[in-house]
Amino acid sequence: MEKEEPRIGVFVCKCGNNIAGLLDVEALEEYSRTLPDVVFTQWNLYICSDAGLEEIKKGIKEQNLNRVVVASCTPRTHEPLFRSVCAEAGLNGYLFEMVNIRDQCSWVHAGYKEDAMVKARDLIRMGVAKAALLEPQEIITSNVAVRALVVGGGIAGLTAAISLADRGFPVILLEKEKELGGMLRSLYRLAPMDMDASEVIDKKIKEVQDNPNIDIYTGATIDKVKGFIGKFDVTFSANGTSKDVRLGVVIIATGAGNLVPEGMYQYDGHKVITQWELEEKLKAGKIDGNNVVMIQCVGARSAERKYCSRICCAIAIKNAILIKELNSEAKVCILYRDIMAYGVQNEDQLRKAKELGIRFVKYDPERPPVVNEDKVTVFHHLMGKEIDLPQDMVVLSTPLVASEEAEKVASLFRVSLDENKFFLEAHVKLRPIDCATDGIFICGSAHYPKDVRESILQALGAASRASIPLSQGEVKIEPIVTSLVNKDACRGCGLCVALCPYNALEIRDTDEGRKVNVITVACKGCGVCAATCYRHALSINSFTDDQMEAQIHSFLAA
Amino acid sequence: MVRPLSINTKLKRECAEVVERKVLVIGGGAAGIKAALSEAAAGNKVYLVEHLPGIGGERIPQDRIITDSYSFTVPDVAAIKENEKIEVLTNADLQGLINENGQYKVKLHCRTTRVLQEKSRDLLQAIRVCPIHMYDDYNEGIEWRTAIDFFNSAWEGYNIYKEEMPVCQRTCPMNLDIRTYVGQIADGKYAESLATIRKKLPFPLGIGRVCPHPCEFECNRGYKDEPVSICSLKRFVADYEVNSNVEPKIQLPEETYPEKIAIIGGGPSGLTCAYHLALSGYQNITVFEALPELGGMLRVGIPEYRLPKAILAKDIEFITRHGIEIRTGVCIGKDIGFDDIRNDCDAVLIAVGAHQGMSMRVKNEDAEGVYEGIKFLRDVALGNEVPNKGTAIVVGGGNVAMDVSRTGLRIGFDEVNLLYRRTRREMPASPWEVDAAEDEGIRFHFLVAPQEVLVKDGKAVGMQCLKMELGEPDASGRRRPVPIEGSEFVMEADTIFAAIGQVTDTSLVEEKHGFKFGRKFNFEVNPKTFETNVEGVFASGDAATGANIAIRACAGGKTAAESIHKYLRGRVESA
Amino acid sequence: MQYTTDIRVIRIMCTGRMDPVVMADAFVHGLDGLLVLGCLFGECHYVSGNFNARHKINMTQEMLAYAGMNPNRLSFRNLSSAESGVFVKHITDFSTEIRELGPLGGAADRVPLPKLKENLEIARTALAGPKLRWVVGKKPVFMDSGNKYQEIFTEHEINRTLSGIIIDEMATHSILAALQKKRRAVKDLAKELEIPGPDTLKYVLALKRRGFVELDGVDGTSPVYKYKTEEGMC
Repeated sequence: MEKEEPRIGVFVCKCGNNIAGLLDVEALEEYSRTLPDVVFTQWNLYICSDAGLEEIKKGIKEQNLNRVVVASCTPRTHEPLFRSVCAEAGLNGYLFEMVNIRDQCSWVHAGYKEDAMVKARDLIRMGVAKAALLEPQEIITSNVAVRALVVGGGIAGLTAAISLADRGFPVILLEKEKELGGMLRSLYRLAPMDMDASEVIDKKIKEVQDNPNIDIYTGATIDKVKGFIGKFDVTFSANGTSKDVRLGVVIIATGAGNLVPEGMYQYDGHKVITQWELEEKLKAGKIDGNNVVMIQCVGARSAERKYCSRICCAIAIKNAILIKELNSEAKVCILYRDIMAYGVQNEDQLRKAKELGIRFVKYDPERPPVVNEDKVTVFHHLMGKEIDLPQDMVVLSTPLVASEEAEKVASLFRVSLDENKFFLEAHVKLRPIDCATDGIFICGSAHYPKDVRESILQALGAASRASIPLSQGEVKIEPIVTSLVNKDACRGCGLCVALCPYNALEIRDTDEGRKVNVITVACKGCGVCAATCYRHALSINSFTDDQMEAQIHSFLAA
Repeated sequence: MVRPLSINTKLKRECAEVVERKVLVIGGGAAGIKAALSEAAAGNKVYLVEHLPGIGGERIPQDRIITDSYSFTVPDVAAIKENEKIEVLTNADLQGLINENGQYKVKLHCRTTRVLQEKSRDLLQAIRVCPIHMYDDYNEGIEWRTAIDFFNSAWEGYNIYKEEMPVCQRTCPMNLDIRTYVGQIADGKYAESLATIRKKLPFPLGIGRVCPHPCEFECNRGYKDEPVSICSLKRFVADYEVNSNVEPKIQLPEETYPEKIAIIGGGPSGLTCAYHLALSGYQNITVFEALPELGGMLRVGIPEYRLPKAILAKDIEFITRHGIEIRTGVCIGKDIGFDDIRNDCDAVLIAVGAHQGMSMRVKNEDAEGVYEGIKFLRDVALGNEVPNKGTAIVVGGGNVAMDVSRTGLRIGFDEVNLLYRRTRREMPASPWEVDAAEDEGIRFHFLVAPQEVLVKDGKAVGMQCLKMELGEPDASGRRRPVPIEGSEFVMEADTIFAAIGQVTDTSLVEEKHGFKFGRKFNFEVNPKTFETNVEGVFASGDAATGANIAIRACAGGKTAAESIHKYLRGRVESA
Repeated sequence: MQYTTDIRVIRIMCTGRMDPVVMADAFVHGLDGLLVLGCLFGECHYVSGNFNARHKINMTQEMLAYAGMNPNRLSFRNLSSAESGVFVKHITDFSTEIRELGPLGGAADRVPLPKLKENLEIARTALAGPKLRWVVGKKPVFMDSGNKYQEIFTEHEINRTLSGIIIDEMATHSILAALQKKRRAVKDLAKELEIPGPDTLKYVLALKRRGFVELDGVDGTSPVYKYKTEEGMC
């Protein structure tokens, strides 16, 4: 690339009153003109308006700008827009730098105009310093193998597989058990709509089995995963044979497990049972005795497991109603900490349960109920004294816990788990179905405890997200990735390879010896490798050491 | 890595039959080099074994100091390199030498150099960047050498220096990976730390309380200020698990073995052996314990105040949860014959400990009111009736004597006098036990030997004693006490405890079984395998070593488990 | 939401990007405080970036402290991207702390300016060198899966090693920097750099053996060493 003198244009935005309300934007524009390499400046009321964008294009064309700095709002929302405008005007989008004088300055320093002006000038100066060192980058594209992998054959996995197969994509469905169906196979009726569990799951299993686009492997384990979005190479074994497949996307639907409350509340599996064991009794239509006490939050929302399993309240309410319907004489009491009956139907069921005479008693986790031979003693919050509840059966509502396989699956696919070993999404709100690693999606209770409806919803979402790269046939990747800027320096030591969380680096034998090779499609640009490389051979596009240092130096140069 | 090597030292020069003659030269100094060269010149294949990573010996550093590079040793070293008849084994130690009809079988222990010699061309670069520096003993400490280095300029074999087993770990009879588990505690990884301990030792709670921790006396930190509190740290992680109500996880292997193994004695050694056998996959392990409860000396020898029974029970529960059958209150030799066990099981471990007190060899020792200290401790632990009134005399200077004295004071004696033949310095008891006993009010009488138990109406009423002075050192290195003539005096007492050592009660086996015994009636065993002279019967713990510390018993149990595993698997393979 | 105007934000993709050299360089140029803000541990959007960052920042902190700077000028704090309140708290706290420390090289720092700047430059050189980068880079690997021989090390053990290397590197690079300016005898170096004489000798001899310095004659009875230019630093 030929070195050209930077010709920087600085555009300062008033953002209506958002910025100009505090900062003297015109003064900032004037100040910008004094900065090194700046050849053109302009302020605008709204740079993001059509007129404002036209001004950038005009500046690039007429002033022959080769770097553009916009001092306005946050890159989160507006960077893509400004980049594309630069590109429209023939300037590489990565020669654009954004300075945030709204979120980081005018909005948060009301009443401190003088200090805020100093800060705004600093921020612009730092942005200009970095812009001078920016280099053009090209968007990276990579082909996508048109086939999806769904890990887990429970309700979420089945739904996702069907949804993808119906769009015409071939799907491989792996289930570790001998049969499909997952947790639903052991359930009786489903809350809150009171549907037959086996009806729901059998229908789905049949649909999957009849779908020619889905290859089903039961008794399967994944042995090895390599690659990245579009080109995952997965080795799995099922029924004693090993198979290698190439896949474009992966949906993780490994579900969750049940907590066995060993050593809690006299749990014995006979007289003191869990809701899951109660389901089996209800299935058989046989409940012994008239007095049933249910205890909520057993082993959940505790120091060990801080989270709420969400679904247990609905299950307890549903099962209490079922007991009442089986035997109207039965006395059912639910000891709870807080009732989680969210949404429309759950609340209806709660109301129905209360109408049926099911008793709800709040207990204090500091003074938990005590299960005795034939009664449960609990401190009644409102009465302020201990009460005895006769019992013929105690049912413990235990939380869903992360699947035992979660850690193994997570490490195979190099995705993260949260502190409870549930799969972690890339962003709670903005990317709630994606894993941080591109091309991998989560659905169902592998993510966190969910009821069937929510699992299906998320599975449909995951299938829809997964079908984007599959139908586009290629993925576009932001070029903010690692690059081997100094090939001579690289010794191929592999230190960076070991630390890369995305398997995006590999050592290759080249004519010049062992060198690192960056798999740019897999790289997310975190920069761990560049910060580690002892030969300083690696860098991150648009976040180089030089650029960061230039920002700091220009700040300190004031 | 152990390399077997067969060497023929019979140099029958006239005999044409000998195909190859091999000579072993131990030591790669100037003399070793000369010897190797001349043997090679005589047409023999030579193995030159050197402990250090390079040959040349003491001459090399001296040469280097004098000339900074080459010297007269170097031509010889170069000749060795070129001579195809000579194989140099550096970083190696001789482990064993067996003579079979003039044929020597040599066992060498070769340490890895951690460097692929054939790829080690560009290692100057490695030396330049190696971040670890260390004392360069080949330059008299005048400069530092890096962890990766060539050993000397004449022998350019590169090697990476790696410390051998840390001194604490080496000292521990069980070779517990102390540095790792202490480091894990420093990292705050308590569960991992405990798992590290449990890889070898199943009694972290118990041993963490009672171990006299020989490791701490060797700890290098002691040279700076004070040793790392290894024992207390172990207790801490073990307690941490108990206090946070975590159930320790049991992980048994998938591959299992059906052989029946009987373990006689449910003490630290027997239970450790059972634990390790269970971890190896054995499913038919039965522990026979003569006493009503498991624990052996940890339960009936060590008093409650040092190791609470409830704490010990947690360790034992953890062990027994590994699918081990326990039969308490069964005394082999009485309730079940040894032969029955022997015939019924594929392997037997005898770990009955040393529960019989040794006699004081003084007159009237069998009088009423004279007790074995160890029996007294056992009776207290089991809740049996014991004397607890008046004055007591304890004879002995070991930890048992301290336990007896301190327990005696706790259960009601008004006064406890402790007699010891030598001085406080020579006492084998742990110093902190002695201090504690003194603080509690035990009266020590040093340089006093018992002479005769005084009896009235068939009951002991006191002890006639003799004063001593220290003479020449004896075989144990301690100065021998010599009686002072005419210094007899009488000490009154209602009860007299003898705590001068324990021996093994071997009555479970009979003479016809043909076991060999040692000086303290202990079963004689191969010290490496803990196998007795009777096939398929192993012995460990105090029953094999004589009275010793608990962790040594555990260590024996672990080794015995490994030997039993090898024995049984070897038997299956050869069958 | 309002907060102090003291801070200037520099965007990076992940705290894993924080190169020790960049951090040290900021202080060399006179920065008073550097706060690295990243995801909560276990919730890193780049899987493990913040763990790597923590190792590097801890090491840099120790190095800069050894160079004479108050280590509290460099800080690593964590928050989730949705926690604006926590963000404000972190920067308010940090700004207050730095204001209490005063400008770089003042009473809060062990070594005053301009000596501090020299030391920080040496620290920056050392942090750019291979030794510390290798060990700190290998740290997560050694702790997790161990070395080639499957020997797993505890964090405690690696930290101890790192502390040793920091002391060595600081001494070594001070000596090199001094020799680069002018040839010197060991005893002069020792006096000037305030490193004990025997240690200085060992450092110089080790450097000589590695080819970084060479003997440049003898003044009276003292050998004099000079910087060996052609080899350079690797």
